[in-house]
Order: sequence, then C-alpha cells, then structure tokens
Amino acid sequence: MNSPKLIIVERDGALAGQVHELAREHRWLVRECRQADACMTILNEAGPAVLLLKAEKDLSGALALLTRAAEACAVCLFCEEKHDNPAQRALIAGLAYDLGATAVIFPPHMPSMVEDLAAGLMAEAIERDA
Amino acid sequence: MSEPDSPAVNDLPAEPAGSWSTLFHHARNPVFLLSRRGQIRYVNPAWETLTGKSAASVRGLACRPLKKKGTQPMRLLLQALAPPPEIGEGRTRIVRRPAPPAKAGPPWWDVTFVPIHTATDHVATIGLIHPIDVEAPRASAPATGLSEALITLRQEAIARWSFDLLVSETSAMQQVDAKARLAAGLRCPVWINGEPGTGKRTLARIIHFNGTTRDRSWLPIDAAGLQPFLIRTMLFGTPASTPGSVLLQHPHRLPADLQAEIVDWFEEQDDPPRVIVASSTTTGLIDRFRVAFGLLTIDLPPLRDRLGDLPEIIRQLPMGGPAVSPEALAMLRQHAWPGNIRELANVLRDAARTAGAGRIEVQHLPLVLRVPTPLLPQRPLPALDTVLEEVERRLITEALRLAKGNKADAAERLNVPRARLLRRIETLKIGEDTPS
Repeated sequence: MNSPKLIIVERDGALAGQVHELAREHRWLVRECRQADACMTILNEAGPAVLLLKAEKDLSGALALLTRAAEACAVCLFCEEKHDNPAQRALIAGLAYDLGATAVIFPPHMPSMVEDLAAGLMAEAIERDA
Repeated sequence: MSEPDSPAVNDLPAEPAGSWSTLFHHARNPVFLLSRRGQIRYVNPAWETLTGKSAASVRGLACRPLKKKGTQPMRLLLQALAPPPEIGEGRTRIVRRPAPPAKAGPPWWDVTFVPIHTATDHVATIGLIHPIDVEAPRASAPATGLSEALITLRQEAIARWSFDLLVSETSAMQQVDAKARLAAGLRCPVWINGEPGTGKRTLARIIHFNGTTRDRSWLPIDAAGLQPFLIRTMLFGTPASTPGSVLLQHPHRLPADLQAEIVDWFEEQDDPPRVIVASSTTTGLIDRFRVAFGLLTIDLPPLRDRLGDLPEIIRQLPMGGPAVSPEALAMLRQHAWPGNIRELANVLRDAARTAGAGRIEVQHLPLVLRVPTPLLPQRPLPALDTVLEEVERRLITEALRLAKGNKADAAERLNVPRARLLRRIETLKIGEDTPS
C-alpha cells in the first residue's frame, strides 16, 4: 500500500504544526502546499489521502479547490474567519457540504480536535483504500 | 379521509402497521395506492389537492387504459393512473402521462409505479405523481447571502448529481432508479444497502439534490471517520437550521447511545430532515434505529452484477471517463471487482496516469487483472482443541525445563496451582516420552 498522505493547504503553517506529531507517529507523509494545482497533483497520486484545507481570505478559491478535491479524498474545511453570525456560519457550512466537504470547522481550531479529525478521517481513508 | 390498510412489504424492516399510511398521509407529493386489480384503495391529501377529487369519490374506481377514446375528466384521470403491465411482473416503472384533464401533454405527469409484493404475490401498487412544469427546477442555492460566483460554483457542482447517473440496462439498477425517484419525492427516511464502493453516497446525493428538500442544506456524516462529539455538534449544534437531508454513513460505527439520540432528535423535529442511511451491514445497530430509518430500502447491486454497464459507469467517473480500448474493456469485464466502483475508479486512475495522453490499453492495467491468479487451495482448519493442547503441552514442557523438573517451581512460573499442573501433566502425558 502507498503511504497515507496528509495534505495541508494553508499559508501560515498552523494546521501543519498541530498535526506534525500525529503524522510522525503514524508515519503519514505530510504534504504542504499553497496552490490548488499542486494539491491536485498530489491527490492524483495513488494511496489514501486526507486534505486539511484552510479557507483564508479567498473563500471562493478554497471552495473551488474543495469541489475538485472532494472527488478524490475526504476534505476537512477549516474556516479562518470566525463568522459570529450563526446564519452566516450555516450558509458557509451548507455550501461546503454541498460541494463535498466531509467536515467544516470554525474557529477556534483546537489542536486536539484537529488531531482527532485527521486521525479519524485517515483511518477511514486507509480502510477504503485497502 | 380513511387511511389504507397497510400492505405487507417484504423488503422492508418489521415496523408498526400504521407507519406506511402515516408516511403517505403527510407526504407533500401526491401518492395513491392501487389494489392488485388496479382499484384505488387510498389517495393522500396532496393527491386530492392536485386532482381536485376527493378520496371518497375515487375510492374503488379501477385505473385501466381506456379501450375507447374518452373525454370525461374522470376517465382521463383513471387512465393517467393506470399501472403499466410490467408492474404485475414486479418491476418498478416511471411513466410520463398527459396531466388530466389534458388528453395530450403538456402538461405532463411523471407517475412512478412501485409494485408491492408478499413472498409469493403482487398485492398492491404505490403510485407517486411528479407534475412536470415547463422545466423541472434544478437545485437552487440556499436563499441569500452567497456571491454570484459561489452560487454558480454550487449549481455546477450539484448539477452532476442527476438521475442520469442511474441509467442502466440491468433490472436491479432500474429498480434503484425508480425507488430513488420515489424517495426523492416522498421525503421519507431511506435506507441504502450495498457493498462498499457500490455508490451509496452518490445515490444519497442524487436523492437529496433532486428531491423535495433540495433547497435546504445537505449534511453528510460519516460515522467511520468522525468522532461522536463531532457528529453531535454537526447534528444537534445548530438548532436554528435543520438540514434538508442528513446522510448517515457507516451507522454501525455509532455508539448505541448516539444511535438512540439521533432517533430522538429526528422524532422531536417539527419539520424533520430526510435521513438517508448508507450501510453495508445491519449488525451493531439498535432496533429503534433500524425501524425509524428503514421505511424505504434501496439495494444497490455490486459492480460484478452490472458489468454490462461498464462503459457508462466509466464515462460517468469523476475524472471525466478515460478512453479505454475494447481489449482493455473486455479485460475489465472479466474481473470480479470486490471493491466495486471505487476499485474500478482507482484502477482506471492509475492506468490513465500510465497511459499518459493515449487511451488505456491492456498493458496499462494492473497485473492482477492481466494475469488471473488461481485461488489458493483451501486447507481445512485444524481442530481447536488439538491446537490448544499442543500450545499447553509446549508451555508446560518449557516451564519444567526452566524449573529443572521441579513441578512446584514450574506451577509458579505458569501461575497455576501445583495440583492443576500435575493433572494437566498426567492428562497430556508429558514426560513419558520426553525427559523433563
């Protein structure tokens, strides 16, 4: 089996820092990228994969990548903006789920929750790929 | 209006007798129930609203094709509701009929006829009417607040989930198509059975994005990959916005208490979402969960039972359907596909990468498809007692060796009473042919 890949699309490296230890423990490859095309190239490689996608300033761009990537792997969307208005949160989450997201997380992105998500989704991805 | 006698439906889980009638009675789509001979036994309020006829005025009337041309509105209505002959053979059919009192369309009705069988006989037919307007509306974006670009993105993404994905030559998939249309119109809980990789999630999306709840949100929950606390947050965390449809994948991975909580939550909602369960097993599920969400079941056939559909399935793959040579296609047809469509997609993705810009040829397919490997000969399993005795004999012999033959010391090393060790030594005849 090909090595499981944890792909992280973000600019500040925060998510990568939170899952670094977990990935090392499970011997997952951590691939960080900023460009959608680079992300898709990695996703087209064989093997189980999970995408942690942070929606920063360009929400449209992140959602466009989510749409493409969701066909290939589980995608967890981390929204950087807090969106205190519940209706706005529901709108964004609903849109992301329509586009194929597996989970949508709003701040705060607690390290334990990020780890739990990554571990659970990767276990499922490995089982599906077996 | 009286509610119908609930027919026994052999492919549904055991449930209280009133569930079906209650379900139809409150459905927003027009539903009718015909006897085996085509007589109207029940119509729901939505049917009365659509046709302008009361239940009392049509109960007992026979729905049959007209032998003579007629113009009376009632005769045209009964003709529109007449089940096609395939229903008697147990096959579900969707038929487009002119909407009465029109003698010819438009306007049209798409009438879905679903036969109901006991173990031996066709006992009744459920009919569901979808009035066709000028153009069937596509799923639209949630009301407001999205930019034009995001609305377009959403519309393009969900346009993919159409009933066209279910087009098939096989009768099993035709049943799936008809039941999915029924499910989309009824908004009742749906239970999708199928082996891993058969497309349960895709079918669930088709039902949601073409169904009565398509204007509300879609919430997919995969119990295999999400922790219970996250599932609780996703389901119960935003009481202000109930989703249109909830997909529960791998429900057997949900703890029993969470299964019960989900049933409670569903039953407490004034306007509950459509719950779609996608499962390949019923083990690990509490009865309440199975009964609450098992009203309408759809069985997805494995890929090996629909290999005739391979070209169409390949064309519909998310990667856009790579070109495959006839020889390679013939080889794909010989494989059993235990991983179903997911396995096929993975194989073709890897083959397309190897093939580069050209079409997929036989040599691009993995070895496991090109060289059929004979199954390993099956050896009978050894008797359990024999294996256990052998393990025990070896442990006792090793303990005696380490204890230099001292049985009390050996018993201590094995953490068993000395008397028991002595009995086992005697039973297993240890030491009779081997020096202790």
